[in-house]
Amino acid sequence: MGITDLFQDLKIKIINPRYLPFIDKLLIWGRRNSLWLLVLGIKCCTIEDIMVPGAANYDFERFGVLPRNSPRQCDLMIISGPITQKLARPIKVLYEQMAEPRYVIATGECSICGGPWKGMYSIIDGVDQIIPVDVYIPGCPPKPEALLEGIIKLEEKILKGEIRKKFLPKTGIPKIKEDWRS
Amino acid sequence: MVNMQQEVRTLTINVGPQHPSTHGPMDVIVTIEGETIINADIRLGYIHRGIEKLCETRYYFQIPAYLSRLCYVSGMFWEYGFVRAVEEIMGVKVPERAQWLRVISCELTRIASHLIWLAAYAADLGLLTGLSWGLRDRDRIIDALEMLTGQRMMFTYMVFGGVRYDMPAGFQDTVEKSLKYVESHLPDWEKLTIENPIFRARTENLVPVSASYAIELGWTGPMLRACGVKRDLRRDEPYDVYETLDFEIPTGKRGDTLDRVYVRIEEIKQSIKIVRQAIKRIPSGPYQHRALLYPPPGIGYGYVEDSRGECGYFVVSDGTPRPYRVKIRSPAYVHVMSLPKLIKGIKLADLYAVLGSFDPCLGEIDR
Amino acid sequence: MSQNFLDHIKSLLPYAEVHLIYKNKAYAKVPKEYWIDSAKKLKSAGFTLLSFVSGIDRLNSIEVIYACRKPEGNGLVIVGTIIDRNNPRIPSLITVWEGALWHERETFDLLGIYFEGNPDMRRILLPDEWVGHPLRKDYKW
Repeated sequence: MGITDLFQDLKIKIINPRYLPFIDKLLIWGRRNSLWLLVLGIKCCTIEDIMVPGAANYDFERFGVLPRNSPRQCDLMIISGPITQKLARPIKVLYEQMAEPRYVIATGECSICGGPWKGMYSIIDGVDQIIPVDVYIPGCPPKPEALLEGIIKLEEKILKGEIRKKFLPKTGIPKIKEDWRS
Repeated sequence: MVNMQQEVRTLTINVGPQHPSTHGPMDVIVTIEGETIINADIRLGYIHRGIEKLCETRYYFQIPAYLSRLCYVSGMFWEYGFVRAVEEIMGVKVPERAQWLRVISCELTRIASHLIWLAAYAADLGLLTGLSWGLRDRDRIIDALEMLTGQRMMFTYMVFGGVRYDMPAGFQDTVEKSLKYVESHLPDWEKLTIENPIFRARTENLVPVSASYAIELGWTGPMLRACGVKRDLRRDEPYDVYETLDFEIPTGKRGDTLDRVYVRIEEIKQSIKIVRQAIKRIPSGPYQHRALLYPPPGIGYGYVEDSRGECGYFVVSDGTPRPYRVKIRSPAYVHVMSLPKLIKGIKLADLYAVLGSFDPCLGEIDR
Repeated sequence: MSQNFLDHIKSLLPYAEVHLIYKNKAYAKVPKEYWIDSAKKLKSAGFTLLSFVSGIDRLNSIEVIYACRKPEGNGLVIVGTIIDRNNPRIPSLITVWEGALWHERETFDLLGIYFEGNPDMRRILLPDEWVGHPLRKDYKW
C-alpha cells in the first residue's frame, strides 16, 4: 500500500471531486521535484554520472536528486554499467525493493545495449531485458552535463504524466522476464 | 537453552553487492560475534565481462580501447601496459617525444586516480567534505587530460609506437594551472586527513601489515610502500624516461591504514613534481612511430606502475592479427584477496576503513 | 647484464629450458615434476614476489605459468610447464607463496586447471553453477 493507493482511497471517500485534478497535479509536482537516487555503483559511469554530478561542480541536488543508501527510500535508480548474469538478480531485487513510483535511467552504452562487451559470455545485452527503463543516456561514459540533461528529460516526462500510467497499481507492475541464472 | 544461546551469538551479514562503501558491486560476507568479525569471505565477479577472452577475438589495434575501460579511474595505465607488451614483441623503438607525453599523461592520471580515491575513502569514513573536495580537484586534472586526449575518462591515447595526438597549443599553461590548483589544496587535505584527530583515531594502528607478509601476499604499489618497502617499478625497473627524472618514493612505517593515506598524498606531490619536470624538458620531434599492425610470434610481458601497483600484461602472439592469449595481472585483485585474512578480529565498523584503504577498483578486479 | 641474468636463472634451474624474452625477463620451461621445486628455488634466490599464476590453452595440452620477481632490483622470471588437457592437475603453489590463493582460483574458474592442495577451489568470477571454462579455445557460448 503506497501513497498512491492512499490518495485513491481519499479520492473516493473524502475529497470533493472538484479538487481531484489539483491533487493529481500536486502529486506529480512532488514526485518530479524529489527524485531520490539510489547509490548503486557498477562501473565507469558511477564516477561520471553519480559521484561527479553529486559533488560541487555540477550539483544535481538542484534538481531534487538526493543520493540515498537504502532502496526503500529511493525513487530513481541509475544503472551505470554492464549487467552480467551474476548481477541481474541483485539489480532486479533492488528494483523491486524500491517504492513505487520508481524510475530508471540507463547511462552509457553498456547498460543500454551491452556496449563494447555485447555478445560476451557473461553479459546481458541491455538492462531493459530485466527491468523497464525510462531514460537512456548514450555515451561512453556520458559527461555529467548529459546526465543533468537526462534528469531534466525524466522530470518533463513525469510532469507530462507519460510515465505515471505505467506505475498505477490498477494497470499492474510491468512484467519482468523469467529469472536469469543468478 | 545453552545451545540456543550459542547459536544466536554469531551472525552472518552480506555487505554488498549494493553497499555505499564497496566502490562497486562486490560482496563481503562477514560473520560477526557481537561487533567483532570472526570470519569473512568475498564474492566477486559481478561485472566480469570476459576481457581476456574478448582480446582473443579482436585485432591488436582495437584492443587498447577496451582496456582503458578496465579500470575507470586510471584507464591510461591499462592501455599503456598492453601497448608496452606488444611493443616488446615487435621490437619497436618509441620516439622520445612520445615517451615524455606518455609520462605526462600517466602522471596526470595518477593524480586524478589518487584524488578520487581520497574522495571515496573520505566518504567511507563519513567525511563528506572530502568527497566534495576530491572531485573538485580531480575535475581540474581531467580538464587537462581532456585537452590532451579529447576524453574525460576513456582515453585510448596510447598506440603502438607512440601516442595518438600531440600536445595542443597552450597545454603547458593549462597543466600548470591545474597543478597549482591541486597543489594549493594539498595542505588542506593533510589537515583534513592525516592531521585530523578523528580521522587518525579511526585509521591509526588498524590492521598493520609487516613488510615480509606484504611481499608474501604479493602486494605492490602504494600498499606495499605503506609497509615500508621502497619498491617502485618506475625506479627499480625503469621504463621510458623515468630514469632521468628526479623524484622520491614515499614509504610508510607501520603499514597501517593511516600510512596508506599518507603514502598516497605524498605520491600526488611527487607526481606533480614529475609532470613539472616533464613539461619543461619535453623535446620536439615526432610523437608517433609507424609500427607494424601486429607483432611476430613470441611472448611479451609489459608492466606499468599503476596507481594501485603492478599492472601487467602477459601477451602470447602466434603471428596472426589477433593475440593468442592475454593475461591481465591486476594489483587490486591481489590486495582484495588478503582482506579476509586481515580483517579477522577487528570491529565491523572498521571493515569499511580497511576495505576503502585498499583502493579496490572492481573494473580491474573482475575484468 | 642480461646475459648474466640468463646464466643466473640457468644455474638456478638446471633442468629447465631458459630463454630471454626481453632484457631481464626470462622464460623457463620446466618439466611437471619440478614445478614446486622451481618455485622453491626461485623464492630462496630472492624472487619472493609472486606476480601471477595463469595458464594458456595450447589446444592439445595446457600450459600452466607463474611469474615471480624480485622486490628489490630488477628481474622477472616466467615459469611454464605443460600438462594434460583432459585431466589438468598440478600441485598448488600455496605451500610456497600464500598469495597464490586467488590466482589459482581464477585459473581454475576460467581454464579448468585443478590445483591440488589449494584449500579453496571454487569458482570466483563466474557463478557457481556455470558450465565450462571460457578461456579454453573450444568454449562455445
